[in-house]
Amino acid sequence: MKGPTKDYRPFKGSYGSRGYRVLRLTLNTSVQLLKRTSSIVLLVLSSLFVFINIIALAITPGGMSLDDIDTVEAGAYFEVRPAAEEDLYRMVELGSAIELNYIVSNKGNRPGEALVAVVPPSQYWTGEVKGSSTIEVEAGSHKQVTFEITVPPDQGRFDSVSEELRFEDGRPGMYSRRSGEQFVTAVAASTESLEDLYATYQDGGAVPMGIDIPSYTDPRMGVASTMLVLGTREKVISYDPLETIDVPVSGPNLTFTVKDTFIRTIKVKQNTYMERSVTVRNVGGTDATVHLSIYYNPLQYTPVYMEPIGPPNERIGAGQSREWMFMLNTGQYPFNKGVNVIVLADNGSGPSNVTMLEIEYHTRSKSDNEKLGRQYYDMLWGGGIRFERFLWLVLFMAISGAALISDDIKNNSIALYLSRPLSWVDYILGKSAGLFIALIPISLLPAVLLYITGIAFSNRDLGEVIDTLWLLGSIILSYLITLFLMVSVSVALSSVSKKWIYAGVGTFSLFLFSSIISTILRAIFDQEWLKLIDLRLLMKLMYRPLFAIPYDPGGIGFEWYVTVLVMAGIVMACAATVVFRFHHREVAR
Amino acid sequence: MRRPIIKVQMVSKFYGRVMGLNDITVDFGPGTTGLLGPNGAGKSTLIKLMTGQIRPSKGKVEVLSERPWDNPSLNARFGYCPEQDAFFKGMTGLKFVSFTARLMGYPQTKARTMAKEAIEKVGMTAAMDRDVQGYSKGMRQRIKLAQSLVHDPDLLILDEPMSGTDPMGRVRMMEVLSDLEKEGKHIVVSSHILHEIERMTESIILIDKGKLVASGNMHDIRDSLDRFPLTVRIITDERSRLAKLLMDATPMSSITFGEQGNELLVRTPTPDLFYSAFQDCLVENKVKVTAIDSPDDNLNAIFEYLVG
Repeated sequence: MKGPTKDYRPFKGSYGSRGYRVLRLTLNTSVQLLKRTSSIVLLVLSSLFVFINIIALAITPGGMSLDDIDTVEAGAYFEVRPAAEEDLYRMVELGSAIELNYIVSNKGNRPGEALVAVVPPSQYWTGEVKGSSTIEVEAGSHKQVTFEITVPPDQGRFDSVSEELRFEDGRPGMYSRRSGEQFVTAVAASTESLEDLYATYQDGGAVPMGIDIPSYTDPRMGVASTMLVLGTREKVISYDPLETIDVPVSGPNLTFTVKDTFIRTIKVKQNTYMERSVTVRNVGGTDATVHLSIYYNPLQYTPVYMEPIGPPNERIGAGQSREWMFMLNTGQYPFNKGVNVIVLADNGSGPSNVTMLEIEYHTRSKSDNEKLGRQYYDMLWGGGIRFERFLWLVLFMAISGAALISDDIKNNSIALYLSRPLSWVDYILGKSAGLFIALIPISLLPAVLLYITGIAFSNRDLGEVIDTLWLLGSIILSYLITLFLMVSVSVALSSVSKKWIYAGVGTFSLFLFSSIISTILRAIFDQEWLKLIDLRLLMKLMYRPLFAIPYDPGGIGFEWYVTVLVMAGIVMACAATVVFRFHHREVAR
Repeated sequence: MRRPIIKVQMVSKFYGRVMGLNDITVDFGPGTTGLLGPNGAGKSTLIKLMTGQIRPSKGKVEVLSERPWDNPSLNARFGYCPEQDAFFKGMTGLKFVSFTARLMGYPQTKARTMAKEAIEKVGMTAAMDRDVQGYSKGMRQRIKLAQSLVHDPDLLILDEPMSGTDPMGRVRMMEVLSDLEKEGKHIVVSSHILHEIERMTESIILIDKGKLVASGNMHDIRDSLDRFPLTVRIITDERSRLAKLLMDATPMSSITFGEQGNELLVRTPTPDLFYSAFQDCLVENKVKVTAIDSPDDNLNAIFEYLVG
């Protein structure tokens, strides 16, 4: 009889570990998937878009940063004072020009850049800053700036409430009072010299009018307050944004009030949504009306949409506090000149030397995390132009991922895999992990690159970069969840048929058309729970907490855990499909 | 007595309401065993049960004393060559065989060396750097055989390894299997061509319609088969002369002229004797034959005879 004479040998087992064999399958699957022409085309297209995004981040003025940059860091603020007594007020002949010197002091503990400006009280006045309009001032240091003011010969009037008056001697004059109770200004429009008017006033004479240039900076003009006072007051009103203002009240029709003002300039980059808060505490002994104003810098002509959340005026009792949130939303264009936030307190008429306000300005708070998270959430998971990142992913899944198992069934290569020391579970693990890895260059990698680029252009120091690492973790986690879900779906659909096109269409429909189907069904049946059909929406909702964005069940119709349950259900259904195909139905048969 | 390599005990396999195998009990001994049966007899089902691709609905299968279903470690001990074309896309012959070795757990260099050795054994070295998809059917069968023996298993389970190959390919494949047998491998080879198996082994197992028909030594089975007349179709321009010569040379059930002018149909109860005499007849009498085949030389006809 033919045949060998020996019996079979006992098995010694020297074929590597199970993990090694699965790893080989994983790597081979990744390489084979990435070698497909369709994969290469999608990778190239995806990379092109990522490259464009990165270039845009790099070359756009100001870039699209992770965070806004405050012009004045917390703890740094400026005071502007006249350089000399004569700069407090100056008698000026109409039609002449004067120079006024002011000292800009940085009272904070960080260096800062002060924006100085001339704020003529009327359109008929002109003025300019000699030298640079922005000056760098070290912490605890000061610099002098010079303003030149030209008073026109024919003094005009303000465009607010005004009335014509006549001096006692019958000369014509004008009294003007600006409306709005923000500040009260009397302006003389007299042909008399200012010296005469002042002398009359000092002598106790009835001088109904004087020249009183508004006593503090137009709040729209920047951080460093400039104060120009020309007039006939016996004592010029001094303005200090952080100190008590002591104002003597005299003269008919003139009432000055205590005003504490907090000015903050925030530079906001384009495509930025930000939320800020200001807490105002009334530490004075009397009630105060506190007003919050937000202006965009008039030097910047790009509009910004901004509004305080809540009424801008609040009556705050002594010892009470109030927090204002306010939102800024810029468009496509950079908004580098800044937004001024003004908090102004008014305790009503009458003299006061009580410090009214204690103000906290929050630049690093929970809302910052939320803002930062929202920015990246919108960029990675939002709609519009960001949608293409999700599109590439789905296309990759629908074209390459769909053939993952179906090609093996079609080519009978499953029999080859399962005739190695690999169980069907090993096979599924290896294939799934291979697809997972192949998807990284088209999904997670670009997202991480965008994060790194964003950080690189955000001028953060190392400590601040570390503070944003939670965001990197969120990005990675959100993509891992997405890939896990999509790979589960793809493997399940791919194992159902020999024809990859079925799995491809199924994957594409599930992730892209489910939104449309959900919308149509909701329009027909008016049932909010039909949102659960919309897989992309569910993913977006599930990731909100990861990006520090509060979940709003009111706007969605169900709690966050419902989305998690639905997602978990989908994964379990996919797993059940695979088990049915491979274990129960014996896919190799 | 030596232990059987494969034990099949009262095994049935159902595909839904369709029965693939029906209560089969048979042992596969050491050496080469031919698994014979017509198309649809259940050969591939039995092989898939033996290789753990599917599990039995009833009964027990043991390969090398282990149950193959859900037992991937056993796969390291045998090599399996499936019936259909089974390849990984876009690979050369060398990469294909090498990758299957890596799936066994071997490191890259070792796997490559082993793959080259296996490819050399099946005579495919010259073509190993070409894409598998460009191979002829015979080359694909041989490279499939190479992947099954790349890890030097004790047992080879080959499902119709010569299916679709040309005569030269069959001869080459038989030589390869013969060499492997000489190396001490146990081989289970399935086929629906009786004479293929006959040239490789004397130990055969016959199944039909999911049932075991016969098993054991070839001669015992052939004794029963010899009573079954075989039809041989000969194409020759000298059919009258050849008919006369054959009638004198060997016993025949009948000899008739076919519809075509050069066709001769011979029915013989002793195919072995007939083929021997036929060959001598052609040589001695210098009869020119254009073609010869046997419409009945398949197991369908034989099993019809065997199972009545």
